[in-house]
Amino acid sequence: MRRGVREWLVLAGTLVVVFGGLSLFGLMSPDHALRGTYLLGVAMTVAIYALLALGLSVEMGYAGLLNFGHVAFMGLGAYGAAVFVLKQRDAVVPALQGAQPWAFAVIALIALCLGFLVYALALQVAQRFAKRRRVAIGIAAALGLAAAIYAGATMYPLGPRGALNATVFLGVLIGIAASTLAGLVVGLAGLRLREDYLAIATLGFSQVVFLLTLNEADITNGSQGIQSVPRPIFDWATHTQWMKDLAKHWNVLPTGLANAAMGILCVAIAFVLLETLARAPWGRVLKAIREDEDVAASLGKNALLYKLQALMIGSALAAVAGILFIWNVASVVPEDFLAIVTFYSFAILVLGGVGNHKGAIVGAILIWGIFELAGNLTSLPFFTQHHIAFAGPPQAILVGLVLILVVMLRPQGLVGSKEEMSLGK
Amino acid sequence: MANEGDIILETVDLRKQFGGLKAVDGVTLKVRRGTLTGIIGPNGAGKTTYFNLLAGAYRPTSGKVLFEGQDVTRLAAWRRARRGIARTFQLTRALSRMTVRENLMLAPDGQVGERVWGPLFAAPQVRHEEEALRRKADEMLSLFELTRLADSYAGSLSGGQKKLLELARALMREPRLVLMDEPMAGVNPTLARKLLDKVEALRRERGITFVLVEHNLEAVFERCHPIVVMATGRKLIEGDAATVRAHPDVIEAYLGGAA
Amino acid sequence: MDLSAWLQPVANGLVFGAILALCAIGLTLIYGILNLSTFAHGDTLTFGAYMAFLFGTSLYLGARIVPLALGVAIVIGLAVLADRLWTRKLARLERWVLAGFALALALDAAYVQWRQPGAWLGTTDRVLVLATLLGIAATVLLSVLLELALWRPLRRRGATVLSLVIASLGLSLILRNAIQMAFGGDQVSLQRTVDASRSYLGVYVSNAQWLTLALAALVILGVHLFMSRTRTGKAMRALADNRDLARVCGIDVNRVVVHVWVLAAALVALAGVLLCLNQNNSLRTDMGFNVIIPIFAAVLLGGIGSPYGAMVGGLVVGLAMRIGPAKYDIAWAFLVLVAVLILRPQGILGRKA
Repeated sequence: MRRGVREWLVLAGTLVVVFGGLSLFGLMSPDHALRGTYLLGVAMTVAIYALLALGLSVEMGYAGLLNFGHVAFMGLGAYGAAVFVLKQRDAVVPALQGAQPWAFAVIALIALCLGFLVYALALQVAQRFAKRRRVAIGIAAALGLAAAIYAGATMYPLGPRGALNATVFLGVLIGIAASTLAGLVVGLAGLRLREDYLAIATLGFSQVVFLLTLNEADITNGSQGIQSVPRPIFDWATHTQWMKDLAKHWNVLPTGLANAAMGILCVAIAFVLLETLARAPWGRVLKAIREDEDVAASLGKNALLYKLQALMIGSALAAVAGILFIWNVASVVPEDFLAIVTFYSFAILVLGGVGNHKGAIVGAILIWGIFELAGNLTSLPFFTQHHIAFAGPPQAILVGLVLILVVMLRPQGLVGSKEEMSLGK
Repeated sequence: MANEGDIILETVDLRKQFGGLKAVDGVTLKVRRGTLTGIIGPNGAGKTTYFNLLAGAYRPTSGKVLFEGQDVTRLAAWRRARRGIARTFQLTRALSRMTVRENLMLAPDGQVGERVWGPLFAAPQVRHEEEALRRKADEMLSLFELTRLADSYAGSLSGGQKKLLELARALMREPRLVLMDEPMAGVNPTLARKLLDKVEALRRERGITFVLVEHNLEAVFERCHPIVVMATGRKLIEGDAATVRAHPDVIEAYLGGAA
Repeated sequence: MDLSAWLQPVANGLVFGAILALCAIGLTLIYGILNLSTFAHGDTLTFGAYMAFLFGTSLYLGARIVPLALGVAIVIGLAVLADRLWTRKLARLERWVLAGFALALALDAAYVQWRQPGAWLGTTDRVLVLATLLGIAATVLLSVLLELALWRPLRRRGATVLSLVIASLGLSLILRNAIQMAFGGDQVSLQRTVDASRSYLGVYVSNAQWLTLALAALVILGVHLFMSRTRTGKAMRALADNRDLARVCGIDVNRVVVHVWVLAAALVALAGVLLCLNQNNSLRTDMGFNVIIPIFAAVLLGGIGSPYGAMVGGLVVGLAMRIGPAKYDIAWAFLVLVAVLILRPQGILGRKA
């Protein structure tokens, strides 16, 4: 059977097995409503880790970079968004209410970003169906414009809701920007290094970032962290009637449903965009650079630039994961972003197959599914409230075993293929 | 076509030192457009180092490299490639995890699809571009008689086929200068002949300049003009086959004392 | 002028740097000879410290026969090993010796649990030496086993740098968390008499610190003599310098590699105990992981493959970490690391690639 089909089957199969298994345990729960919500909570955590792994996949699979500090970019995204909202809420809200011009610029910026995202996605679909180039561009542009208008409209309404939305989403942009910028800086400093040097350097970087978040209490509130992070998805879910009805129909909490849906949506979007890039000439260049940088140079390709781009994309994805995380738990503490999160992401990626996007998702489902299943089977304290950085020793040992076994026995991972991309050369 | 006969490549007192070793010790050379220059010399003469200096793999200790009159000494290898210089490698380096056609389609510059925003925001244009590239790659494949291998992984090719692939790949960029590092090393005589026939045809029809570093003296004497002999990091002599063959210093360098 | 306030961090830094130096020597050899930047080195340190703690507890509880037997086994085993490791697979005798030691180790742990279930009690000064020796032996055993079971097969398959780093990451996770599962997550301490400090011109140096410096100096001298005078030591240096050339000269690479692991394990286990002594006799399961970045910084600063460079690097990094503000000590090590990588990637004593 063709490889693409087989990969999708593996993905589907993993989903069914893991979530089916988990729901069996949920059947034993007396409270029916909780069962569905529990599954959705797991789905959310899986989505966050899938995003992390996808980001790492771009960095490691395509650019061959060992980024042991990946969690730092997640933390920068999360802290960037949270700190900004905390400090700026008081400035942005009245500005919007008073119709200050720069506030409109902010809304326009956010709307533009959304519009571009929708345009990129729509274009992929449109160009397959529309015969002529211009028709495809036209359709995609129209959809993008519609998205931008909608975004502007929902953020504009005078009153705290609209203004708060604008601040929060600006915080998102800033969080992603901060993380991407950090990726750029780290890349410029470290990309010329050999793989293991880069691993050490990035690990050190993440430890320094951790120390900074812990010690610079003026900005980050130190070890207590930032407690009341706004949760736009939550708010939306509790105020939108059709969402509440849908949730009631399925016997779950509307907030859980909305969160999981958002997580899945983000993963899906990231997947589409990454697959597009990977299949395109851009991905081809990176493949070439990964295999033989001298040959790529002889063909006029600037290896440093491409590696930087890969690193920045990975950082941006990590930032999105971080923001989803804090919207889920409504607080940010430095201990949420410990190195173990990076190691989990590596295990997920290695298990699924380095450089394979479906593999990253499969790995996330498997590893987190196994954790949850194990947590249900035994009553060992495996988890508290899907707190992703909390790791009992058993999980960590499992993760370590996974890493070693995959390296020794199946370097291409579960979904990857030997010729295309694997840990070995 | 640009002036046949003008200087396309020039080095001015080029030197490269590794610690105490003077690998290239002041080589001044002018290469005319449209020629097939051969660089020969005994082992250790500094040919490969000189070649790498031309290609941009090494930075010289001193001296200059000029391409089409512009100073490219400070430019990295990839920038020189962008200017119109192509190179092949002594040990073939086909990108083995990509197919033959992909190897070729990778080569040209300026593809919108290679920019990160291209596939996302200009997808129809990228598709259009890819189709044109595919056609060009297929043409190149038929020129080199590699068509039936188009979808095979490059790693599965024979040594000789990989050499052809490398040359084809370099030509996809429409370079004005092609540097070839021992193109005939480890290749059977028939294929070597075929390779050089192609080179000569390209030189005649498209006016591409070639510079070869080679050990196969017979082939060099037969086809190259001018021939440059290097020894101990210096240019010993430059001229046509007859002159070089007869020159006592050349015979001395090859047969006589140490390099 | 308050000289002592300035000198105190220097003194602390030198002591800490000595510990780092011990760790770095082993790592730089592993890195240089095997091309393996093992992230598990820090956790090996933790392992060594905890093993010493385990043996100390059983000795504390009064077990006499067990440690005596173990001591004998170690001495014989190590002597035999050192002498006869020239076959690719270990000869039968060595295998039995190692197996015996592993069994004794397991018995020792069981004994402790049997006598005082659930409580780890630490050790006393009197038996600290023996406990340390046993801990070192256990670490050596672990490292040799890992070499045979993990690293050698991977090398034979031609694993890439990427694969090796990932494998070492997995190993680090397993080691660290297995220790946590076995000993519990709380801090444990070695029971010792309270550490006395004396003041020299206002600078306080404790007994533990003097011990550390003295031991480290002795060990480093020993390593120097080993490297320069013995056949194996010279072979190690040759291999670190130029692997293929050394092989061509008839050096049995696999045998020397095992010796490298033995040396590295012994040094890092000792460093673990010394670190514990300098940290108020306490052990934490992440004590090794916390110093892995400084160790790497020391290795890179000194130049990969150069044990002398590692010694110097360790001291410099240790000083840097103690002289700067305490909250950001890792940051200083990181800065040293980055500076080396950017300015002089081959380190002080290394050679340009």
